[in-house]
Amino acid sequence: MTVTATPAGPVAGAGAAAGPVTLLGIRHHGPGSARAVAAALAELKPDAILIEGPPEADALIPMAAHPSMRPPVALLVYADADPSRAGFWPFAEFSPEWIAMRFGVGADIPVRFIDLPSGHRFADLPQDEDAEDREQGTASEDDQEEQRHSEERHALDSMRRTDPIAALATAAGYDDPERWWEDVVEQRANGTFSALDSFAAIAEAMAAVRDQTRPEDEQREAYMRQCIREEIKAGRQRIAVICGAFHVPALAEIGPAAPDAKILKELPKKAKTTATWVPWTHGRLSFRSGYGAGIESPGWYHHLFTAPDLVVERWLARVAELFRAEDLMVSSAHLIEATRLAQTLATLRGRTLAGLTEVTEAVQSVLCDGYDTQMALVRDKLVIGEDLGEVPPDVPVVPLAADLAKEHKRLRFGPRPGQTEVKLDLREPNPGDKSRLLHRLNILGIHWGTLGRSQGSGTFWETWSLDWQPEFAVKLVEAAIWGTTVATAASAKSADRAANAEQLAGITDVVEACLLADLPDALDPIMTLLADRAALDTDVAHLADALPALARTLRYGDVRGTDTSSLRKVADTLVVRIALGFPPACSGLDEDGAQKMRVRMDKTHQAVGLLDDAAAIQEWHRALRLVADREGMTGLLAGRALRLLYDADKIGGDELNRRMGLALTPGVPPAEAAAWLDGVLSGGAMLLIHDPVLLGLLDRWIAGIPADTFTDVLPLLRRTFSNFEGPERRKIGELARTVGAAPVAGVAAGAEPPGFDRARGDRALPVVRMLLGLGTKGETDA
Amino acid sequence: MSAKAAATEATEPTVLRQHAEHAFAGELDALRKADADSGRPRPPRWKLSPWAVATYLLGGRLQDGTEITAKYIGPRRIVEIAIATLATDRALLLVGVPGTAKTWVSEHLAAAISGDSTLLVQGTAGTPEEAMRYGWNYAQLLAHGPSRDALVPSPLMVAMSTGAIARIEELTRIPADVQDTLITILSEKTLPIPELGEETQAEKGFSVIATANDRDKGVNDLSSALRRRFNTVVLPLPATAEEEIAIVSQRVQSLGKALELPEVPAAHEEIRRVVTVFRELRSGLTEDGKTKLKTPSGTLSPAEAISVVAGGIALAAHFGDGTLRPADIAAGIIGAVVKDTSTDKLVWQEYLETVARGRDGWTDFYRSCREVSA
Repeated sequence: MTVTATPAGPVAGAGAAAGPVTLLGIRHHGPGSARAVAAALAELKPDAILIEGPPEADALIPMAAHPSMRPPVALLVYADADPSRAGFWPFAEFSPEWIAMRFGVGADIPVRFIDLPSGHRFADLPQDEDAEDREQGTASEDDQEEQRHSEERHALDSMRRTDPIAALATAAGYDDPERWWEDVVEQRANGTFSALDSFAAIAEAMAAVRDQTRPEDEQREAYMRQCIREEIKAGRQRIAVICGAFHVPALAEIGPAAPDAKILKELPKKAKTTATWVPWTHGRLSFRSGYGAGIESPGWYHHLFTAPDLVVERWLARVAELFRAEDLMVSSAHLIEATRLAQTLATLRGRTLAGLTEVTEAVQSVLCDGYDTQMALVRDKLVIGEDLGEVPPDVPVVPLAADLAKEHKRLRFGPRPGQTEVKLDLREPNPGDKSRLLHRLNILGIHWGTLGRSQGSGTFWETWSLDWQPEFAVKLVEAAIWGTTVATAASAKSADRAANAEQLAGITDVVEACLLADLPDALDPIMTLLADRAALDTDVAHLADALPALARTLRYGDVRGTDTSSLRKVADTLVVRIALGFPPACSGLDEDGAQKMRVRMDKTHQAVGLLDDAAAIQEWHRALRLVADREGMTGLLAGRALRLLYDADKIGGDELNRRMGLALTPGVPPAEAAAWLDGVLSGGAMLLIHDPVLLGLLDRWIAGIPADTFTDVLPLLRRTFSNFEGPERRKIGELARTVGAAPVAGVAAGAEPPGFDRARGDRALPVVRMLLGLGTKGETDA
Repeated sequence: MSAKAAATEATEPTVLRQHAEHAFAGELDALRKADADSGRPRPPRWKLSPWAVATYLLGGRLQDGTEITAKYIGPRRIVEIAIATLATDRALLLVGVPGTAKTWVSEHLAAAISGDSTLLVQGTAGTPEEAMRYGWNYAQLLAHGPSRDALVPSPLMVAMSTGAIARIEELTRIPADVQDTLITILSEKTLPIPELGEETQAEKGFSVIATANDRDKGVNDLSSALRRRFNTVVLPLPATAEEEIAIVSQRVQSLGKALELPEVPAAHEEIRRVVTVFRELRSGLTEDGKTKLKTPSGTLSPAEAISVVAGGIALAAHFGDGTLRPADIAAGIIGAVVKDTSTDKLVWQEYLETVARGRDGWTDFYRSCREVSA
């Protein structure tokens, strides 16, 4: 605006303090504001440009004009002591601040940021708060407030602060503030449009909209005024100030310096900070950060800013292109009708120009047969629009980020907008390195890739789903304390995590991660640590929790060609320790404890199987037998151990029958017998279906439970059986109908059921043998 | 103006159901006056401005104090798109599951725009081409040969020559070859009469509102050439219980007036119950979102809820004590839910036993339903 006291342009009232200052009150990320700022700057020819932004980043402004700088990008300012305290100031191609920066750099005019230094805010914050910056916090408060009171008034109130121009547009019946701007602000002067005049009008409107301020606003505006005073003192003639429209009324009267100085004196001491440029995405522009003003349709704004004319028609043409690429039929006639519908809708709503709402509704009605399924495509690809910015390589970054950039380049594996999937063959050098990079970044907390759940199948392949988030820039800075390259940082962090792990399982997880990420330097000290801790840890539960990760590592580690001999030693001793400690740990447990122990038993059993070491397996089986035999053992665990042994072919069917008979005798309390049964039967009903003797035992036992205890046992039994698949349950039910009557002829254990065709079955055996890796000649000892 | 006033003011109260333009003549007059006062532009041959049409459908209060009842309770966006479509001389296709007020909206749009909602072609599997174009008076044809006098125009042809809105109900039930006659009418805006070597060209203001069923998809799906001539609006099921209750109670009230049912007060609680049952069964989830339910084969649309409540009121008035009680709606609600007896009956019984039973204030309802089902 042109300050009310003095006319715009070259200083007229030179004596007035505000004389040389022209305030351009903008809408953050508003393409209309951006156009107006460009026009106003061209008109004004300023000799200094002040922009609402973090002063720490002043030195980075010239980079905005760098040829390989491509928005969307953001300024990142973080506290050196704690990089998680950081703030982002994103800029899109259509951001007025971006336009002003580039104008200033291009015209060789001093450009500086005049917002309150972020250092004050970072010092201000309590330690535990995850701080984008203070405005982020207040913005989300506003969100909650909006949710609580859905009334329009409250929504408008909060909008007045974060986006006052949108509030004006809403009041005028527009739901697309940018179209309102075009309609009301730009078309106002009937062709003789002057950007400076329009800013004056905005300033007038703001004086009416702005009714309440908060202490934070006052501090920031005091700092802005101080900056403006400095520039006036320096003798600038035409100072352009680009700031959020909300602040314009506060900067109109510069006034005396003393009160502002007092306000600023009360601020907490500035924290030391560092600033840099980072790439940003369109999707992230829709979040409130930095300026506290998020936009929901960056793609549409980009279009508004770049389309030279025929905004609606060009947009629809892009929609058509998008649909055609997806093999959806769209003709030119569709576009004609959609354009007409959008314009008529706008007229019906009393708006001169069709906004995003009208265009979207027209697309849905004309192109999508009224349904909204395809509209999601338009929303993602166009309205938000996937776009990832670029920053020049010589932007100052922490060494770690530079190393990552080098890796990106070396592997031709850089961030891309949106989510993508890659499949990596670990036997090849390049994909192998990519996998290592992703694993290392995961260790550093930069979850660029998420490993798909395909570990069971071919272990030479990894499927990653990649999604680069601009916030990773901060995580990189945070991780920089660990080292200067991705590999060393990941090693150092792993070592630290292992040393600080509270339980053994934590260490083995680190070991697994280290092997996947190929960090041999980290592995040795961690292995020593692991061996020491395993020796000292007396809790068998901890040991058991640690084993599965180790076993997986050993089993699959050699795919990557890592040396795992030291690891095997640790694993073997671990199994021995577990086997010794397990039986005592299985007695005297309550139900919860027994359930947890059962899971451990199953997992350990699986892990021991993976280790594929005869000695270890023998140790483990001995432990299981002790659990199965010992009197006074928790029923569930004893039963489970028996089942595992039976499955491993260590006890025969007769033995199982005998034990079942013993466990289900009337002398044993039914509740305990039911728990034992749960242990035996859980994890598959085949046992019961194929062994009628067992089923008969079970049947007799159930029939013999006294009426008063039956109700106590029932929930336990129900739980056991509810774990079976539906068809299995049905089958058992069918068998149970006959089992009580007479021994089932022909279905006795080992005998062939009626209708069994041995010749046909034999033909499948070679394939089964091959699948089991038994070779072709060997007979299975069934 | 209330619906009551509109109904008594109409000239012929003996017909079972009045056309929209008669039932709401008072409101339409008031809107016309409001248009004239404010000088809003009207598209050619439109009786009202687009703004007034939107107000007529969505309800509101005019400057002279006339209260316009809401004809359509639902998203404003949908009505605006529909009106904007007709204002651009495009044809409008209203799609939705049965009972989502497609016909209702099309009738009122035609009444408000052209002042005539009777230019109607009912689509059936047997709709002949004559119903879309024109037929012949064969006595005339044989006596005097082909001439304009011997020609019997279809409602569509009448609408074209008078610049009015024609309505086609259940477009997708019409055989594909008959549907295709629409293509020329909608794109060239003309109807050739080869027998006379003439044509009827559409006057300004002509357009078509067609309705089609979501569930009928595939019966006679529109060809893409025809579909392209329509802007499509999908009418959703009511978004909230309150919205649906408003729709049902308003329609029940006006239906009761038209059918001269005795006044039955305080039906609100029962309406809420019917709507709750319908919404829960339709979504397969109880209102509190805690219990999953099986869904029946019927659509359970607001229209069916309206008829359940209206039937209940008739029962209460003639056989009951003049108050709508759970017993009065029980039979109707079961009839609406249980369509395909084998599975729907199970669905209903499960609902009754797991949800209705034990819900606060539903004891009478539960008992009545049990009695009826038994």
